[in-house]
Amino acid sequence: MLTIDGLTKRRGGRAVLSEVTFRARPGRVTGFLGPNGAGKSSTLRVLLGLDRADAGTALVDGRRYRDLVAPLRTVGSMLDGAGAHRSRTARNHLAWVARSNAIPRRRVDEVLAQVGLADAARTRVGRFSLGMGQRLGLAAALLGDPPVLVLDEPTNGLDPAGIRWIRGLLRARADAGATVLLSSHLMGEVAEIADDLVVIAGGRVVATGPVDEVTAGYRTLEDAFFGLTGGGR
Amino acid sequence: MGGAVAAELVKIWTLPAAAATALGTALAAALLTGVVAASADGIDAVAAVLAVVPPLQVGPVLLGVLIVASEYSGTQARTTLTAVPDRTVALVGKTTAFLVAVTATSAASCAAGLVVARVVAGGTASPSPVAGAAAHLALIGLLAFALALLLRALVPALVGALGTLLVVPPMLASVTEHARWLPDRAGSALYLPDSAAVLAPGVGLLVLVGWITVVGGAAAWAFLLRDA
Repeated sequence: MLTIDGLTKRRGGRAVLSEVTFRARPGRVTGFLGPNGAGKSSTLRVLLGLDRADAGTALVDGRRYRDLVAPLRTVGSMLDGAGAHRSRTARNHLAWVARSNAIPRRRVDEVLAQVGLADAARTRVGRFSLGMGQRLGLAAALLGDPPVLVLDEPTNGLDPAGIRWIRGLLRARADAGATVLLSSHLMGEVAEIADDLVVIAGGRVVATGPVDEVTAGYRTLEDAFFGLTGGGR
Repeated sequence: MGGAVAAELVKIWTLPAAAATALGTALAAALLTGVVAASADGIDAVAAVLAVVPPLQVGPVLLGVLIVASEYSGTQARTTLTAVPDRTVALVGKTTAFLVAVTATSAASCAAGLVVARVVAGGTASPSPVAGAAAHLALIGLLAFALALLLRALVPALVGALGTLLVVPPMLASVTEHARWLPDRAGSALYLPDSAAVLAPGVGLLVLVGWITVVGGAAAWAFLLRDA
């Protein structure tokens, strides 16, 4: 369970997050939806202990991310890109990540195979395509076999087959009891996979609830997105 | 904590530029010392090693700056801090791993230089100043590491460190005796104890450690508090 309560953050005098509050529950895929610059990434960065909030809390099963021991065994995360240095190979990147959280070394080759990068294990990350970088980021998120997944725009740069594959993977994880939070700026894409939606615009949560409730009363998913976020004109 | 240190050691070892810098520094030490030993008549092997310490400083400086800058040239810093979210543990882990790497590099470089110089020039002088030179090189590397952590960028850190260590000292030394307070001059007291221009060994060490404390303190404060 992810519990975000009253998260507020200002940057350079401008409020990037205002009282952001929502839950992401186990066994469900929660879509975190909003236009670019709405505060999705800022929320996830605070949740993952990368940035500090001026007020409010973001908790993983009741604990701050920074207080987790071996956090990668609890929360797998992927923010934009691979999160790896370009001159290191995919396998070496995952090797140090595994070492940092006492994750068995065999998991490195397992997740590389799982995301379809087994043949690129010895390739330097700088030679990866955007889609391969996303797959490597996902491999790092899966490394500790965590019960919680937090993914920022995971389908960026993936081809249609890759998008279909990641949907299946996240669905299976949630069905097995995992908490899955994924952000996107594409309503159609999120509605395909999410059980719940959290819609954010201008740093404020404007709607939360099951997908059919949030989108009720709109003719199309696109209408719902623009209607809720106040954009499109 | 052990996991954080081990992970950072793996990171250094698998960063090609860092491994190349460590190896290159040792090779350069052997080569330069060999040239000095061969070209100066009657020079002692130990003196030949000490003569090449100033240019060798480039090695540990590069090592420190490259290791930190590789975190910030892309998005790796984010992976580091999600893997080890306790900033104090992350900082201590990274610094410890760097100290291991820079000490090994400095010691291996000085040892390689001494072996080559002994073969080329011979000499019976006590090798203890060479150990001081290795300590100086490691501390200079630590200073560059701290500066890079404060600036979080390759070029400004490299320009700042190399400027302070290699460019400014000779210029300033021609103008004022206060150049002895600069980090590389102060540290040179560790291996040039009889030079009149520098400080006593203990004072020199204290001054260099003072530089590291000031820059490192600012870097640690920034690392612990600022957003990733």
